[in-house]
Amino acid sequence: MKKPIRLINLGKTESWKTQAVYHALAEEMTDESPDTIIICQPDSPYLCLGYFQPFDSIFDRKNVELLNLPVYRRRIGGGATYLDENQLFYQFIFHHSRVPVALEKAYKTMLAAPVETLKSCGLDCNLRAVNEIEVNGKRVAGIGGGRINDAAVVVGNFLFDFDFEAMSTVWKAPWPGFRELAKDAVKERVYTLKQCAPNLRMRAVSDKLIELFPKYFNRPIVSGSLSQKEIMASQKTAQVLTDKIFLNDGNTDIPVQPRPLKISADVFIHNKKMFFKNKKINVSFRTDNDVITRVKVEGAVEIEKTIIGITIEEIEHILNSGSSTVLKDN
Amino acid sequence: MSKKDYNFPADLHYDGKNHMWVKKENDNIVLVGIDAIGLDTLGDLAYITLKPEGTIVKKGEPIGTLEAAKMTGDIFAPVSGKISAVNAACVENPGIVNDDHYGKGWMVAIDASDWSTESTALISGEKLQPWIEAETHRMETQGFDA
Repeated sequence: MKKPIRLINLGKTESWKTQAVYHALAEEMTDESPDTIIICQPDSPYLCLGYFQPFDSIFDRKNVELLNLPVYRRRIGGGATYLDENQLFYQFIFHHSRVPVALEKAYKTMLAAPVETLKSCGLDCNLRAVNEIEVNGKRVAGIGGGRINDAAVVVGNFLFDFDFEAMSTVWKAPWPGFRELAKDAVKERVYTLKQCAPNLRMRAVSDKLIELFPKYFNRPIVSGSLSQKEIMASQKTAQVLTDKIFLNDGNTDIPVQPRPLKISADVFIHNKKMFFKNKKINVSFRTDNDVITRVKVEGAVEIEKTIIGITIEEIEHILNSGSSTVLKDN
Repeated sequence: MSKKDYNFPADLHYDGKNHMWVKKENDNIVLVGIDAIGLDTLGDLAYITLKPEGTIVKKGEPIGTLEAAKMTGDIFAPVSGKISAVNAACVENPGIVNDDHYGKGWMVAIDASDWSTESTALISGEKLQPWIEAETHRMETQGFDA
């Protein structure tokens, strides 16, 4: 008989559990541990950083404090995000030896049930670019994956609604133009189930997802609960994931160089410094598949048109050319 | 499905669990990097962090972390010892590892503390070809039905 997968449905639960539990299970995973799927929904909003995202290079500390949002840093990749009760999470924690080695196959298998769940709700849902779940060609979920000790972990969500305002408020923006570009891009690229299927209820989606797991994992699913030991490990892990030093990683392990803000698989927001008329100004631009599509230039709108349509390589060439218009990394 | 043809230079040792390569240099200094299958499971690397020079490391413990386009993970020490050098170039530009993982994409040098014992657990010599074949097969077949 195939080894069953343990299902832990935490339902609507304290926000810290929606990050800490899967980390704790992954950290303790051995070949003998049950592969586990967690379903949960945070009861209050919080922010979550990707593994390689130091707090101070991603978030505006003052704005985060104003919104009184707890911040966690997960040990898997992807970008920083705002999470709240309008999102339903699914988290897969499997021993690595029971997951396809090839990344594409691993994601395809793990994300089959979420994709089919949305299809069964009548939505035009597809998996693209390895791990992007899209409806009508727009991103409708945040997916991340990684290896934590001996566990292969994939986490994702159903985005019923999204607080675009809160998300764009907490991003660290060198100037308002950057924030404006980012907010417009996320509104354009991130799609919610409220937008595409307003009558869809979270409970119905959760039930359907659970129903589909046995088919797409081809293994029995057995409902379970966390052991006392796992609860204690989760509490300890929550402290680590919110630890101030861990959030910035003591500035030792994590690279501090600026990185573009990822909006979706193909869309990023960048910022550069440029000397124009003897003044250092910000140039923020959006790239779609590495081509600049929108630009905001601080106090020099006339330059914007000249930048649209060029590639990242071309602007990098200008950066390195030492010409009279000198651009430098922000 | 056709088998992928992975390159595993015969003059290196390999950590069979974590897919790291080890090259014995002078004395007990070894160079360490990621092997062909390890790289294939990651794809394009975006970030690498490595523990600093002078760090004492134990075989099987993390010596750094990495983020590829679609996943993150740890980098494990294939042998115990002291990190004697860190390849800053691959931290600054992880693409070097994708481009030349057996050459310019080396990650750290370790002054191995027990090479004579720990090297016996690494894959090399006549054990290499059967291991490559087994790992290639695992790459193609391991999964939820395995």
